[in-house]
Amino acid sequence: MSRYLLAIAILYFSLYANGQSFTISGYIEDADSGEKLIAANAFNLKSLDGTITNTYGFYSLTLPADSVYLSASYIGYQSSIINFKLRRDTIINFKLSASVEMEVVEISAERSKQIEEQSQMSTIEVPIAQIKKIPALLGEVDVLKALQLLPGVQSGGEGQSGLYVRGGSPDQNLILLDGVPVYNASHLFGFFSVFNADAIKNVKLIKGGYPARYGGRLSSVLEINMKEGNNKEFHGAASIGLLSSKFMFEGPIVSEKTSFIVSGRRTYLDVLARPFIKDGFESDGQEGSTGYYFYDLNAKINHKFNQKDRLYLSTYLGRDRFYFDSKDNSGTFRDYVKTDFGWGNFTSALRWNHLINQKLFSNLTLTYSRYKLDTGTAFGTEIEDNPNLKEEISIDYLSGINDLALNLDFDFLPTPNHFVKFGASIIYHTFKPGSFDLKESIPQENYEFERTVGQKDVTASEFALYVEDDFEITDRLKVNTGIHFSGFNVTDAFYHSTQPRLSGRYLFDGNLSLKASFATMRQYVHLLAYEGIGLPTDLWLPTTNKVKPQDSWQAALGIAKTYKSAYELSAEIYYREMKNVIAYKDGSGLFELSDWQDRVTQGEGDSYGLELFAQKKQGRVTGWIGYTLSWSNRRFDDLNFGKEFPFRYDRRHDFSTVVNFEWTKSISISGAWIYGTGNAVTLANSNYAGSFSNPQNDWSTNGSFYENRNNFRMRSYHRLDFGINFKKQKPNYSRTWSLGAYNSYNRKNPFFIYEDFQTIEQPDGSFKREFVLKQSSLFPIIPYVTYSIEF
Amino acid sequence: MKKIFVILLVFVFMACSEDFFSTTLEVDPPPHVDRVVVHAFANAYHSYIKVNVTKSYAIDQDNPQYLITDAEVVVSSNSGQSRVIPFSAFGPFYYTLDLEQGFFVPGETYTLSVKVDGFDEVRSSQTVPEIVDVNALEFIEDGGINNEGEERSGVDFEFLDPSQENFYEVGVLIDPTLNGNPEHGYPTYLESLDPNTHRGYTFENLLVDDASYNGELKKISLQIYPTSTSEAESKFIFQWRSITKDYYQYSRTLRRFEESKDNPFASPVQIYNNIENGIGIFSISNDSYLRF
Repeated sequence: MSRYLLAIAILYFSLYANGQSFTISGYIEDADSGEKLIAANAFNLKSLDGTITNTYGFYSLTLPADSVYLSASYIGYQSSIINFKLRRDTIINFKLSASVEMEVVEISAERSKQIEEQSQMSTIEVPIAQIKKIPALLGEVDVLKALQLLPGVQSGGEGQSGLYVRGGSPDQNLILLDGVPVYNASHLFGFFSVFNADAIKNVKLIKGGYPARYGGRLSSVLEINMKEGNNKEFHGAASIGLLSSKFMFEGPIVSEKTSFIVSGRRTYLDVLARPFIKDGFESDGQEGSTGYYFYDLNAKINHKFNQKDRLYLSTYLGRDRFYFDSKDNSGTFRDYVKTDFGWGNFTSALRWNHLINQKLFSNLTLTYSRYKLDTGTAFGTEIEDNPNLKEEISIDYLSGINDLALNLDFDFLPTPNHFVKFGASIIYHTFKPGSFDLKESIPQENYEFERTVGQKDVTASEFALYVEDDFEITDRLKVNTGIHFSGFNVTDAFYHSTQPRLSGRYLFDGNLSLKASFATMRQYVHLLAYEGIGLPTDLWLPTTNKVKPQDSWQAALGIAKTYKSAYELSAEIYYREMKNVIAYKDGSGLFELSDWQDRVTQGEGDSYGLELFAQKKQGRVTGWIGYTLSWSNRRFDDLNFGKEFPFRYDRRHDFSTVVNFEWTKSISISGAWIYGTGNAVTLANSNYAGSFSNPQNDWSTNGSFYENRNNFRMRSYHRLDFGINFKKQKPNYSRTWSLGAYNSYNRKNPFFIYEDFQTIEQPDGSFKREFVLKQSSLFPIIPYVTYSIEF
Repeated sequence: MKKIFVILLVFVFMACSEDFFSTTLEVDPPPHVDRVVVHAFANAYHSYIKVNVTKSYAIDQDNPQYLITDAEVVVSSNSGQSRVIPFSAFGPFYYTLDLEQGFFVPGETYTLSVKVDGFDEVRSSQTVPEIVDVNALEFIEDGGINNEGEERSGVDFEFLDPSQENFYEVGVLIDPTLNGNPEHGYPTYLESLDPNTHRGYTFENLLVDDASYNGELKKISLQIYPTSTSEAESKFIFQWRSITKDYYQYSRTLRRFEESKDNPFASPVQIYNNIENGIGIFSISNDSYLRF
């Protein structure tokens, strides 16, 4: 790696020494809100040299001393051009105004970075404004559900919010909220993700050809950046839906220096249903309550000390809770039961941006992330006259993961041809692999019993070093190359890995490019999850001396083209191999007391496929069409007798189309249609009698014969969603009525399959029980109405 | 604008069929093909072979008739000996044959073939495992505590594991007649903290693999219900069985199948199968017994 750094240094100095050059640097931001624009273009129209802003809106462009026509542009904004003589290092901050008409954007964004020009491949950025227009379940805009509509990205199925990227599993996605890993991204049993679209500025998904700055997961990187808050004036938004309401408020604390944004959501089905539930309990001679809710809160504050230093503090807090309490409401001895099932994330990031010089930008970040699942049940008997004298038995289950991390990242832009990034990170993990706390108390007998069984906390440290360069070798050839080195130290074991990364493009005439990439990845944390339903029973576990880290390599080849400036077309083929992927052993599952390391097995996997994508980002009609043809397989010595079998989420065909139509200035219509091959599940082909242990005791049980693991395909999944937004500008605010329907033709999509018996009356009047296999679905057609305001 | 609301209303009314809000529907089960199912156990020490022959049935089949009474069941050795195993009216092993001592020779391979009208012949081969001598066997009154924190007595034994891959089943029989005949003993429940021991489908016994000590001298400590030294004298028979890898895998997967079949959160278990063209298991084991 030191030779690599030396080569970069020599290259830099040789280029720098070749004639007198000066550096133009600064920030590109939204003129109205002061929000920094990510990946905006800074471009010299004369020499055709250019660069893009980093995650914090910073750009740096080193050019020969000459006259410069510097253009700053960003899709959806009017570009700005400044003409000047470059005679010294210069700082220029651009403030771009949003376009009023989309047609203007098409002209002004002429030199925006087009898909075929980017050296990176397998990367999709979906504007948050476009995500907000997609019709959504119960009107609640969902970032992860929108991403599931992209090629190469699949949902787990009905009611699941996890991402399955190119044949990988949800734990193989690195989900970063303002740079902080989020371990459980789902609310409401997977129906919604934890990301509140009102607080989000940018969403970027990388499916392959990962730049070297990312590591720690095999399948994808999902980078979500929160808004910074308007630093010029106060603004807000609020909406009321059938199940939830939300708000967002932002504004300056010190104008142009310090700003904040705070947003929150809460569902209130539990509150609305409380009177009915209370009546239900009373009719059964009980008092009690049951319900479910989730809430989340995003907050961010940033302060600009000077041109060189900025400080950000952002936090996210979210929690889901299901509860059930009941108690007899008569009698001397009253039985009661209390159940609480809760889970949630807390993340926080303190970030310091420092401009070391005009070419070197640094970012120091301290982050904390916590995911906790706690569930408990208590039952007992209470004496009417003395409620303190009660017998009670309680069982609590607790698991989770805490991360404390420090990251130091640098962006170095020595010449217009190079965008170098390097840095280091260290994470201190604390895994809580699951423990039960059992208690029993009988006060009148002075009896107290308490015992904790299960797994002890495991701590581990993970570190990484990286360097990458986005290098424009010629006008046609550009590569992004780098290396990522990581290590993991856990009790009695140390692992390390060197991961080369390379992606590049070759530009042909006619806005067409050929792209290729190769990347290796290593993952030190594992997720044990039950694949059946979206219960938050995720158990995050470390690599240990028994359980090895997961590894993968992926290669991809593709073409990209922009057609008539408005249409982006791409086609990619990919192949990925994975080692040491993790799965439950046959017969193992949740809520077991045995050592988790004995319950899992590790094996290999591969996935390959073709992805086609056509997107229109501009004009009255926007949207995309995506299609994926893919295969994904697994091989474990301990499963399926060592034979290869299809991954549960092996999906041969996956098609989606999303259309947004701006009918008038006040009415927009959107629709989405999704089709996917059914999931592969394991069901018995046959039953048979007499599986004996040995002839001495003649015990037997009826056995089941499975031709293969995941031998049965559930029904294909498809649905059509549509929505209409009616927007009206009022004197001090704008309001929007949103109407629509999820699964508008009421397709019964599979959730899970179960065995059942039905009783059928025979012609002779007798009854006969018959075995049937049934599929359960979650969502029929679900209409929604949402009212929202912005001010 | 009005058109939009009309479209919406049409959707709503069209959807109001009888089962509109039903969230379940019947699905066809996976394809089923009738297969011959064979469970055959042979033992070189006892010199017998017992076979159960049935056929599989679809998971939605009502009142299946699965017993096959007219199968042609033959066991044959590589050296050319073969025996027809006749059908008898006594189950569950309707095909049973007591063989002459020495029919099953350790190290020799035997093939079981079953012919049933309307099905392809099914067959399976097994090699008789060698007996491995137990070098030391000791009863310990205080055997420590088990995983649940309960007191147990102990049985320690030691053996030299041969260099190839080996599998064993260990049991302790209570001998009420005190005559040392294993036929009269009944098994007592065994536990062990040794990671090389596993619970098989035979509830009381333990399976043993040699993956971590292949070819080495190995001592294993077993735990049994608390027993005093005086009670132990002449009361127990140590059962040390050499088993095939196929039986080891079958017994373990059958145990997991049985334990998990009613757990909706557990992954389905495939029971190990070594019957070519069919389903089931053919195994040959070899026993030794020590009285202590």
